[in-house]
Amino acid sequence: MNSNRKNSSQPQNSSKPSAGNSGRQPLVETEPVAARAQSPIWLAVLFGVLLYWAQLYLDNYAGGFDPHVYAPFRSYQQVAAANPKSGAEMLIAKGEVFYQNCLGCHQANGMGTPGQTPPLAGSEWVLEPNPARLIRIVLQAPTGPFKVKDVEWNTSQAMVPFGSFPDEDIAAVLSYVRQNQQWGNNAPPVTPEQVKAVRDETSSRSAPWTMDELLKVPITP
Amino acid sequence: MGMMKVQRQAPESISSSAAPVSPVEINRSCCLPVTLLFAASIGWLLVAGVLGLISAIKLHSAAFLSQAAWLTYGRVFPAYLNVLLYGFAVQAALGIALWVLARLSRAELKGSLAATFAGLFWNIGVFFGVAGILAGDSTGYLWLEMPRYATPLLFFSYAVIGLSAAITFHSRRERQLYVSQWYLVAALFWFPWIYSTAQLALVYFPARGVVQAVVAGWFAHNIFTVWLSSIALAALFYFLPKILNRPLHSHELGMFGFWALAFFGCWGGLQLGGPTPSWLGSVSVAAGVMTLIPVLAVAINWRRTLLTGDRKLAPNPVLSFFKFGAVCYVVASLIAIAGLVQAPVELSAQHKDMSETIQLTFAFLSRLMGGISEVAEFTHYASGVAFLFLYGFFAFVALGSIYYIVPKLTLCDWPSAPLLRLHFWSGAAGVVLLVAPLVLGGVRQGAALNNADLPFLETVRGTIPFLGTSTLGLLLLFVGNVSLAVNLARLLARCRCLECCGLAKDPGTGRAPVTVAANL
Repeated sequence: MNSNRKNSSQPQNSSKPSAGNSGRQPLVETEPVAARAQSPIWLAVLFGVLLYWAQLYLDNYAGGFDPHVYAPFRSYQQVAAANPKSGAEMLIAKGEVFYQNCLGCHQANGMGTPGQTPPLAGSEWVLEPNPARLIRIVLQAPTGPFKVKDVEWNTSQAMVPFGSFPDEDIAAVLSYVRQNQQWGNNAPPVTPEQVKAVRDETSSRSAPWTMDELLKVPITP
Repeated sequence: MGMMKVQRQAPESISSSAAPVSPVEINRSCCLPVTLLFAASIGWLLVAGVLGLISAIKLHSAAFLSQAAWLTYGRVFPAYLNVLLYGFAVQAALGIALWVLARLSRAELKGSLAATFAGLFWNIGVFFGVAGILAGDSTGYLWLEMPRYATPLLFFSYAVIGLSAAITFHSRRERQLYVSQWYLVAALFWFPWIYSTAQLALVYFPARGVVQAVVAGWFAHNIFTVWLSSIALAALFYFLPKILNRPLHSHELGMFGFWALAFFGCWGGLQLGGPTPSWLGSVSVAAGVMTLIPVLAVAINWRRTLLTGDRKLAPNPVLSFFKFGAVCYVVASLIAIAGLVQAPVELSAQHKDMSETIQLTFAFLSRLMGGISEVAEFTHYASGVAFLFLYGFFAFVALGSIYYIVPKLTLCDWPSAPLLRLHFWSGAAGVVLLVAPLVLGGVRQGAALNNADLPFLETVRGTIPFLGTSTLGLLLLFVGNVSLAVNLARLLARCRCLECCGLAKDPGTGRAPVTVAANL
């Protein structure tokens, strides 16, 4: 192999002096320079078009630059709608489902069935701030005559006890009923802990409650 | 080797009077560190070839070399990627940056000996990093797998080399800047920024939760799209006009491309659809599509530079490396951008005016492109693009630069021209055979994955012929790189490099540099 076979590319400048050692020779090899041609106008146009596209893209997919918005959602409202609510709201949503067991008699509007089933809307038994008596009605069922909104109702054999359902379900349906603003109700929700407390107090009892018995249950706030 | 102090109070006034240093002196000042960086990078390239072949074969023959823990895919593959990036790519890029910066500055490389030692320590760092990965100490972040006991060495070695380049640039004798210098100086400061940020936020003081994925994606994107690109683009802007012996088409277009890349290139790498805020992913996609502008700007500049000449050029194998790399840059960028846009839902038509029509047009285009990403996501498509970028673009430009620069440094020509041609052709065929099956097979795999009736294992089995073909591509690349290593070993053995580098006092013994005309 001889070194005068050149693979390497440099066009040779034959006029250069042989590689000397003095550091300050005039340049014998030119470094690249750039001409001053104008940029094509279509590139600038494309630049503008792409910027416009990018702005539309961000408008549609960046979620308003809200750090809480993530794909596939496009706005904070969508994220909020798809996410679990607070504990009380979840309880009420669950109660609405459980209320399917009740609406056959109490009706979807909570007005009850005239002559047979007392109303839940506006009922003083339902809206009592302390739910101790209300929870007992659901757990062991009522019996005998009951006075609701100044009307006498006979509740014997009318309602089944719901004590076999978990605390969570009973708290949920009671919260739904007490908070149902379409019925005009607005009492504090019932927590599963309150249901459990009443269940523990009445664990030895399976008989339904008469009105007089219930009225003896203390409801001090 | 003491740093040469350049005595200047007002650079502008005195710039014309500081005579440029002769290319011979510049080459001599670069010889030791740059030759070391190049030789070591080629060594690591061979190691990467072996590790890459092992991990590629494992993809279609799972039992291959699975006896020892350190040979399992989970260790060999990251070791391969890290050898390729830190052993080969970054090291070769540093060598190119030092030489091109010194030449364009018309000034000797400052701190040459310090840079040489830093180069040695860089290699020690890569060795411990890769050994750590194989020993099971990987950090688990893509492209950042090297364990924490290796990375500080890499960082500080880089700092010394970068400082040497920065001082060289500062003492430049030619005040008129060329496009390549913008890319190189930007890249010099880009790497310490992204590397230290990623190391601190992921390894030393790990951020919590999804921030880790954000930082890792940002780093992996920046190291390729900004850092490696900048060095290779600088090399292309330098070598294309130099080899063609004509001026670059347009300085303005070059600067426009530089600033557009610097501005839009650094946002990408995050996915829309991950568990991160939407704005991160969508900014990433929008900026990624905007990088079409710098890609087109450099492509136009190169094309017009290549086509303006009226002379018929003699076939030049080194120029072929640069041309192939330039084409791969444009193709890889276009494929990457095409796979970027995700349009999960149609654009809402809420503006009741002209802009709605425009919006719907854009929506239609977005959906067309979104179709690609819908199919290509979670497949071999992305690795095909990454390999095209690394092997087709960066490696070809870097290897072309090595072929060009080493004879200048060592005053010694490549011993074998056939080996050089073999390298080009087997490398080019290797890139095609490596990338095409991954991209096409990725599309096929994606279509299969989207078909709910097809069992998952069927979709995996369908990729095997494609993976086998791409292994063949890696083998061809390896053959090409071995031919370069052989060529370089013979060159270094016969040229008495120490004399060329000025370390031996008598350059007259044996080979006289005068006989080598390529010594500029």
